[in-house]
Amino acid sequence: MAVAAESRERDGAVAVARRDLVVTGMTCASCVASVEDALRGVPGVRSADVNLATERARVEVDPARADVTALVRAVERAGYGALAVSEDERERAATEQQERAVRRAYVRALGRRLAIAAALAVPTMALSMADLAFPALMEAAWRPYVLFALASPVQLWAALPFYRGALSAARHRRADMNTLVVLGTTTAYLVSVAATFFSGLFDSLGLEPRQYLYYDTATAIVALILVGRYLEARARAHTSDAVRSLAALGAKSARVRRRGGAEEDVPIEKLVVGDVVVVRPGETVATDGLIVAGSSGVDESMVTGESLPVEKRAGDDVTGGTLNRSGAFRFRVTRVGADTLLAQIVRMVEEAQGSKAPIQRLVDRVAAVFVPVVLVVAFASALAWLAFGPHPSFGYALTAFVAVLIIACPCALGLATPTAIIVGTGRGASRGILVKSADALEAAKAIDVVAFDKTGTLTVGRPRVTDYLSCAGIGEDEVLRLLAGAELRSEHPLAAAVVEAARERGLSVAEPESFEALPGEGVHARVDGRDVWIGTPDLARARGFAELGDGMVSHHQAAGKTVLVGTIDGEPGAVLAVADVVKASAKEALAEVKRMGLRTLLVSGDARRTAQAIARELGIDDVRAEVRPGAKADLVAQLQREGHRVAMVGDGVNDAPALARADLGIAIGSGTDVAIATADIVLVGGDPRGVPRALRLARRTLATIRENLFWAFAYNVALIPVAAGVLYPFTGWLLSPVLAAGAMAISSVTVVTNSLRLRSAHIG
Amino acid sequence: MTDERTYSVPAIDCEGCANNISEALEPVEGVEATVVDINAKTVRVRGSVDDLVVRKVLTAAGYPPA
Repeated sequence: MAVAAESRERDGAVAVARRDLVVTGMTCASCVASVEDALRGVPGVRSADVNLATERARVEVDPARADVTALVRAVERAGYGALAVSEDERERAATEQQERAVRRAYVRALGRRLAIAAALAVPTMALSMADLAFPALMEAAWRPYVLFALASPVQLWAALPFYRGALSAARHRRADMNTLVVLGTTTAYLVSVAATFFSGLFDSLGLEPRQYLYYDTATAIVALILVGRYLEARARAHTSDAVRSLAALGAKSARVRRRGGAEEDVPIEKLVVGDVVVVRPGETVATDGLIVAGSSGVDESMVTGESLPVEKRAGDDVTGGTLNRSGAFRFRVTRVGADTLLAQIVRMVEEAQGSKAPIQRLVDRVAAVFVPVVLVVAFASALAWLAFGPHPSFGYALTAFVAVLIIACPCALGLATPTAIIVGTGRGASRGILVKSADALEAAKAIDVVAFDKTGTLTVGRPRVTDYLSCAGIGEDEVLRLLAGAELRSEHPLAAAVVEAARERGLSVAEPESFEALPGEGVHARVDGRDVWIGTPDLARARGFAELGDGMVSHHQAAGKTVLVGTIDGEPGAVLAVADVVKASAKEALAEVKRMGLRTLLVSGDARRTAQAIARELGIDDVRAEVRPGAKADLVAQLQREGHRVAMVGDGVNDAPALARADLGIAIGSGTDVAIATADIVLVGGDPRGVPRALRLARRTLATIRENLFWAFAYNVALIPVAAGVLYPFTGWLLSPVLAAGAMAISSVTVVTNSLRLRSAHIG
Repeated sequence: MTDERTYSVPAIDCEGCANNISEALEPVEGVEATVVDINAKTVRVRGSVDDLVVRKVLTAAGYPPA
């Protein structure tokens, strides 16, 4: 997998290379901004994008001026861990393993700190509150010292990661959520320490030192925020499970058949294009290829999302990572390593998960100014309480200061968008829906018209014989066998349909003894000693069968089908109707799209009659027929000028410009590489039901992002004034710092769990 | 049904191509014999094998039949 895509601009001759880094230790949107700033500060860096949920940084650099070690050092100086993602396939696997180990270690370390903090916070709380039940405790001289002993390890050891983070932020003149936690809890802790050891100070100010023991507040906040971080780190590891499980599908080795029939086991990375691989029942297909012998039912659900096994025989393509069910077969390797469909899928999903939704950029900008604003609010409210508050004003000031700092932590904010995008795209990938970027999800929401290409998208893309009527006395199978023999040498797609129809009936088609193609009309051949003509009704008329089934011919033509007439030894033989048949699930797909309130449109290069027949059959609202290949993009542009947001669904090379032009381009799986490259969403497997599924997935993902932003943001912002004590004069409400810490932890966890719900979202 | 079919393959240049082609067709079910004619740029395939399969295998091997 090439992670460093190098490109050279022709005019300025400035080279740009992409470098990917794994960044650990980030906890919130402010961390993201710090890392981005640190990276942008390195000379030669053109842009830096950091994703909190994937813990990846994507940096564009001028390779002549900046190397990876400089980038890693910059991130480390900012107080985070960094690991360069290698460009080499094998090293990359090692990096990923290292990365997982680092993450596991991080989660374990957090867990240890959490366990100690929780174990000490509970008795601290109990002892602090116990005076409510046993007033005598209030007088006990030993109580402050015991509380000090319980709280100190929490403040000085368990909270260490917060201090470290705050310190490195401070070094860069920044403030992040660590700053808020550290300021809040340290203030509470230091005031308590002063009240414990220097109670005379309080006495001289006329304050009662025993009322200024805030050990419980400090320990509870540290413990609760650790709970939030721990759960969040664990949940984050789950969000990208979908891709990891896809990547893990591959087989480790394959049985290669050498020339002459000898077989040997070959490790997957040693396979080369052209090898012949033997697959037995129950085995995983090692890589992409073309079946050359045997047949079997193959479970492709991991790639296409389609649960029924697909019948495969010689001449069919197989995909690496799919599961062979019933039969045995051998295939010729056509793609290996990074070129395989599975590798491309994984790469595409990873790209999408690392991409930033437009809405996220806004969130990042807000978060960068959020923390400094909160600091100002916290100090201002503390000063206001000192100046105007009731007795003991110092106590109220302290409570408000700590509560504001804690409630305002923007940690959930940094997770709201990326976790939803990661889980959403992962969910899509497991159903054969590949979303190429977060932008596509946002675009999908606004769509009001869905334009479908016809051939290959809604239809099978290959003409088949749909109606067959024989009128000769030699038996209908014999007639078909002779007609197929005549067509065997022809390269016309209609001829292939006739040959296939004969083979489907199990007829053995004979080679013609002589063969002559009449371009645009049909063929004339001698098969098994008989004189056979097959072609257009006009050809039949010219051969003297004017009356032959004219009514039937026009009936089929009205239905948009092509009619072939065959004669044998000068006698009428058969009338065949050939048409490109509609995919089995197309009707359901269209009905679902319409149920979602979207207008449907069929765009086709076919004759009006053919296109309309299909549109009628599928219940499509509107038809644009006889559209020249290049004109599809113009049609999309015209719809956009009329104020529509257009999704274009297509598969072919000639659809690529329209896919690119549309607000949302959806390439359907059997499609060409060009179509896949220009589309925003790729449906693997070619089932048109993927279209409503993809749209539904986009809607669900965006709804989740909106919910998350609400929980992360609105909620915090709304509680800041309460924490500052704005409501106190009216209702007597003041938010306890402990509750504020609880609220913070809950909002982070709510956001991540809400995103994880997408994993089981019903998308059809 | 044992058939014999001839494919015109313009990409045939040398002995190497001939080798590649017979190697590609050898594992295909039903193929009994393959004769590559370098001068005529043709491949003769004998056996009971679907025309479409032969065409696909040749194309996948980098020798699309005309």
